[in-house]
Amino acid sequence: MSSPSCPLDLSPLDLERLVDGELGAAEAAELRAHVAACETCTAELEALQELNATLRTRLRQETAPPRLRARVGQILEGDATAAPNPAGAGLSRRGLGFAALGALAASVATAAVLPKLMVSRLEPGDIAGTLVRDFETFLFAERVLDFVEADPVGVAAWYRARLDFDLPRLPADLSGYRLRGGRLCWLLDRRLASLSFEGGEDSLALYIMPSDGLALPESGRAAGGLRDASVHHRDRFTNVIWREGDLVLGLVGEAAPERVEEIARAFSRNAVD
Amino acid sequence: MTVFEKELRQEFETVVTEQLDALYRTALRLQGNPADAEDAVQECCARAFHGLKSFKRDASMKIWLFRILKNICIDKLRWRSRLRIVSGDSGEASIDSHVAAPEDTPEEACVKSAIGRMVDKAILSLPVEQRAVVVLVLIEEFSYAEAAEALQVPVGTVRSRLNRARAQLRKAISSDSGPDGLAEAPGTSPTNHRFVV
Repeated sequence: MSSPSCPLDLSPLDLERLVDGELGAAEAAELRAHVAACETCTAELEALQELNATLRTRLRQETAPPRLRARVGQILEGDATAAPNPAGAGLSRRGLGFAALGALAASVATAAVLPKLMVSRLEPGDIAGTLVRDFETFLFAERVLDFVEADPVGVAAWYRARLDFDLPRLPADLSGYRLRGGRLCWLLDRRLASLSFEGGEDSLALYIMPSDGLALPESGRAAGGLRDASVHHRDRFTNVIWREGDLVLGLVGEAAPERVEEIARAFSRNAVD
Repeated sequence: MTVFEKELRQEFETVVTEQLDALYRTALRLQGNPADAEDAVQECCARAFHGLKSFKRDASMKIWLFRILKNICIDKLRWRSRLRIVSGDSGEASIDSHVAAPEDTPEEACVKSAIGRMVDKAILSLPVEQRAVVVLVLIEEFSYAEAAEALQVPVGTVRSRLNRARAQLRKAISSDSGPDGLAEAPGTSPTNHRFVV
């Protein structure tokens, strides 16, 4: 009951329903008539109204930040690379030892970067373009890693619970780039792993996905030593795409093209040894 | 794209555009910080966009979106709580979004900010299930039935969660206020700014 002094022995829920507009007109009128005559219920009703008003006036002022609007705008345009980054731990990249990249991202005005990301359109199934775009967005839009883990066993275990395919054997160190963690992405109409490797001055993303229904790109230069491989250059990024068993892998980085190819070959050797 | 798909997509665009602020505010209160909230909303919109063909009209599109958002936020919170054990991160949430209006005097701005932080702290102290009900019903003005659909719980559960949350909020806010229920804002005279709930 709202108070021992209330003659109707009202439940607090009744007053809450009244203040939340959940009562029918007749029921509300009846209750209001009682409240008008009951000091205890009047005080309780006023307190409830004040709480509602406080929450609404304080917390309804917040609006979605422009960066989020831009990202959602991309999704509404059907941009595959703005697809989900599910089950994320929400870890800030700045807190993960990406100080140099964080500073770079902060130095580039968001307003200057996002329009660039939004205007270039991708053709469906453009693997190289999709992976490069995702990596570029990750770097400049300050996206987050879903988890931080330097141990390949831990990384494989994290993905095992979330993907319906097993990752190939992962190295802790990939030609001088250290494993930092990863993201679970939705790209190219499938769930895939995006592993993050950090070097001294730059980072790499290795995308691993099932090959079902994917037409590997024919354009681009073939990379020796890798199965069905091709090398693509988009802006300042190099993307090497190749096949390992039933999987397709894509390595994206800002390092020199020869270096990215060499790293892809090193990964492949480690995976099959 | 069929006419039906085209119409569905148009409806989706309209609903997302109309609800984006509310989705963000909801994610912000559930996640506890703006970065995670942005990620959650982005993921929600992307998932919904890609799953648009599977959208069944058993609920409105708005409710469907909030349902997806709630599931994403809960998943992220679960994952974060697991990660915290490993990393030792205190996980203390902070929402510093109480920006004063340009017309506010410095004193008003200071009090607004202090009250905003107090309200945030009180909401974040609630269990996430209660927080979700508070945000949808008390802030976004969903009906109990809409909140129940979005949260996939019975209406009675919404009602009882809301009742418990209200009691805790009133207690938390009044205990965080100064004597006589007055807001404590540094450098201001509390007697000018009553804050009693």
